[in-house]
Amino acid sequence: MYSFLIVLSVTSFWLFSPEVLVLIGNGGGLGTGIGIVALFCFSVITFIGISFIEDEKKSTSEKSLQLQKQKVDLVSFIGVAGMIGTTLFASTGILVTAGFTFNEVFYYRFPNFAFAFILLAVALSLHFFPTSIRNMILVITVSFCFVGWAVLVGYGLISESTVTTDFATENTSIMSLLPLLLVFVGLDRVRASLREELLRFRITFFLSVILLAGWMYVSARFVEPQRLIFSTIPYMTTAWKIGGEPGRLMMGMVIILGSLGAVYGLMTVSSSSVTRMFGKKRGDSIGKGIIILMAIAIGGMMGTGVAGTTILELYIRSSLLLWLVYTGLSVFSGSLQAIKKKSFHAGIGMISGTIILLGSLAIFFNQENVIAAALFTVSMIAGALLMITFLNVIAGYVGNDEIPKIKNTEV
Amino acid sequence: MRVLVATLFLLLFCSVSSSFAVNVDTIDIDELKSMLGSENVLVLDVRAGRDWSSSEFKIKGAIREEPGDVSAWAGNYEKEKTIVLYCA
Repeated sequence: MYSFLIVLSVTSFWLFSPEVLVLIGNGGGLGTGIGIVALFCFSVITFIGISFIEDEKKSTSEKSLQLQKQKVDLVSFIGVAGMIGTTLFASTGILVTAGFTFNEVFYYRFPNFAFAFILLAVALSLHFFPTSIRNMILVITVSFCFVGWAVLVGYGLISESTVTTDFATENTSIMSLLPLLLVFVGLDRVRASLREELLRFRITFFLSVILLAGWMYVSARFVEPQRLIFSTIPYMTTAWKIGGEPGRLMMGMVIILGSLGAVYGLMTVSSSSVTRMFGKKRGDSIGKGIIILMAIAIGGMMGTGVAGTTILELYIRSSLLLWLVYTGLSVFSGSLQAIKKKSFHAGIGMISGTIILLGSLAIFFNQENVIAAALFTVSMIAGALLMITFLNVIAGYVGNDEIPKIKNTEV
Repeated sequence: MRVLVATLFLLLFCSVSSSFAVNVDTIDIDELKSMLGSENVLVLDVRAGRDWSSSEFKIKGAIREEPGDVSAWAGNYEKEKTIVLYCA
């Protein structure tokens, strides 16, 4: 059971974050039927797609590894840019959200920014705890989060609906549902890190998806669709409508614990995305350094009020899309390998990769400020390129002698 | 590595402490509550980004303004009135 919960904590680090709760809540306003269908479709597409990324690695011989690296490295820069961008900007937003949640739900005299800094310090310090203690903390965090959320969904399902308005079908289109693809960002790295726990990964993944779908359903049962679609905190409105003040308190707990898990997970994934470009020995020390630098950057952004600017949302969305593009390209690359092996499943991988890629591009071009997003995206990729080059120099890079396998507790 | 971690915690602590030390005139919730509804009081919600979107609390009747563009809207309000800025 304990190891199952460890796998759950790895799988759900992003799925239980406030960012995903907003996407699910907004999606619920577009209609539960079509929203849930879209959610399940995207989960299946991602689930199938990322299995091809692993297949690519499995089929890689020592000789082809070197050749493949040269091709994949270009894609890897996009991945590093997306992951680090998401970690920096989404963590800033998530921590500020958690700060407000603590301040407004639990104790209003305690400053929200102070709580955000404390949560950042906790997320950072977790990386330096012994594995057993770190796992225990993460398991407790995710278990409380999962149970609290499941209780709210369960209570919402058995309670009588309070919504009388029809769903806002006039707002429902494929474009409006596409952002639900962002719910499954990062699962490529999760699956790669849980290569030896695939059954548990599958179970925890689909449990999480069911919980998300349940939340989408109860959101639509308790909050008017127009309010859900445009709300920036749909989770809190829904929780209050379902369970009153106790429901609000429970959601407050879910948000804070989910935020801690998300920030910790994002830091781990980003650092591993960089360190796997180096040998294990160098990678480990570089990884810790990157985590510390990212924490300083996040703290700096919170301290300088970046979270209080509207541009932050554009940075978060663009970083997530970069990551999604990376996932799509990796799926595509894996499917091409499968075609070379004449695997009859390869076509499914190609379709999954195409949907992920086209979906990301469609979300990107449907943004309000496409030019600013494009400039940011190019800057992030250039920044990733510079960072890797710089790290190569300072680490005395000696070549990719191995791709370190990530421990199942590292993400 | 430990020294680096300790330094980071110190930096985080300092940034929190310095944020506490900012000296601005403030009023508390009860004070504002007693003022709400008065014709001479104007509440401007100058929160932006996550400061606004993550907050459950929106003051009834408050007018939202962009905090980074004060000069554009500062002249729109009567100086005789008591203007309360809600910024965090």
